[in-house]
Amino acid sequence: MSHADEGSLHAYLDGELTAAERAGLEAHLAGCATCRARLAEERDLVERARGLLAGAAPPEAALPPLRRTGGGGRGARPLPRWVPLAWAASVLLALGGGWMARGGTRAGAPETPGSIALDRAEPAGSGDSGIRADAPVEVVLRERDDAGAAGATTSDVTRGGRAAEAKASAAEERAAPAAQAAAPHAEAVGLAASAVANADERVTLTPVTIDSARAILGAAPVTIPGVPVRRIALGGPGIVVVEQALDATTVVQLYERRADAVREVEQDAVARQRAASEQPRPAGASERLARYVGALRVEIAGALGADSLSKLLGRVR
Amino acid sequence: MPDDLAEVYRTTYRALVRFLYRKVWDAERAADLAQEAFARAVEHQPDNARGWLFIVAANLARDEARRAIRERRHLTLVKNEPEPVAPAPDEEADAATERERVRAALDALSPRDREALLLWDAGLSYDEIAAQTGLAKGAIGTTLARARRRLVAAYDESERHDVARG
Repeated sequence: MSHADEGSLHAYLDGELTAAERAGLEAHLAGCATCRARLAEERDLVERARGLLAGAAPPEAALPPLRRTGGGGRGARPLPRWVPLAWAASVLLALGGGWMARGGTRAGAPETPGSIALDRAEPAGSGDSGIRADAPVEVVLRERDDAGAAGATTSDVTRGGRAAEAKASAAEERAAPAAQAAAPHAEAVGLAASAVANADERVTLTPVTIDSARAILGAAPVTIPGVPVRRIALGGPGIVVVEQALDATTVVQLYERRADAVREVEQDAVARQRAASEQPRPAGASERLARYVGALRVEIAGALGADSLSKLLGRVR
Repeated sequence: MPDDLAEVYRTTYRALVRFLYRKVWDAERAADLAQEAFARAVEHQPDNARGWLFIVAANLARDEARRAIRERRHLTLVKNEPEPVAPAPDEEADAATERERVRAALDALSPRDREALLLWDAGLSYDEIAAQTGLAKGAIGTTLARARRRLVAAYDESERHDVARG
């Protein structure tokens, strides 16, 4: 055998030779001092390169939750994109007594009882449902950029378990409702309009089973009666998202968290709001931020035709 | 196969961030791009998610680099005054210097050698690197040998320069 080439030596050091190649090389090395010396040199080189690269590595961080952001679509049927940048318009729709206000201002406090009719997926006996019945409900209507390409996805339907790995950050991200907005539909339907501002807001939606959701909430998640459930997902630590397809183009998301977790999240939201205060925000946005993170939050994504809207409102009333 | 993907996420996320970091040189951006790559994988459900992710990540980093160049241009148009730089603590400054040297040394490599080296360092196998770069598997060892040699040589040279300059 002629002397080993450097490629083989590196592959040998990297553990990437086949068993046969390795045996051949080792046999040669046993009888060739030149190649043994070169092997030692190459080993030093490999180590030095590794060391240099290690000196230019990012800080080790805990595994963050997988965010669900829009990328390209799968084939011709992309999922709704939840990244605000992609939305043509956003409408915030407040339902329930004092929550209803016009022109972007809000009259009610979050404690004001909502009047929305929502059902538990299963009327479980663990019932803290009283809290939820009184919970303020926020409906966010979002217009999607790819209105034509709607359709339910089957691949995202509830799958078990690993969602529990999701940690931190997502809750705050989700909790920050975006800002004031100009929604053409809003006045037409007589709703309080506001806009989605924080363009960097990203959404985490990790599918979970109904059982996990129940474990997280301490009760079965709230659903809108008579609307097919598309999936149940984790929207952040302790936050369950139920996604229901109102029709082919409109998706409703109900965000729900344990009632006893609300206070904590509110504090988070306040901290976050402080942190974000250096960024320009429309006046009033920060106030809403703290207020909206209460119990339940409903989001609707889809191409919002007037009929979708009235259909929804009909459903909700 | 989201379960598979969740497993890939668990095992590959950090490697992907590491890979991306050497391209964008910003830990947060690298994490963002890695998240974006995974989000796309969730939508596309590629067969070989791991390899696919590194390809998407490389593309994202390239787009990012272009964007960064555009932004820098924009900034120079907007801003005439140099920003005062706060003196960093020694340790931090040393780490930054070290990082800059490695970065410059990596820049001295040919794109293909650099790619192979970064992929190897991110934990990809020769097979995976071959699939990624279009190189024959048998050529990966030689490519890595050359990449490592150049990296170390370029780094040592920049160090000599700095020492000479005092």
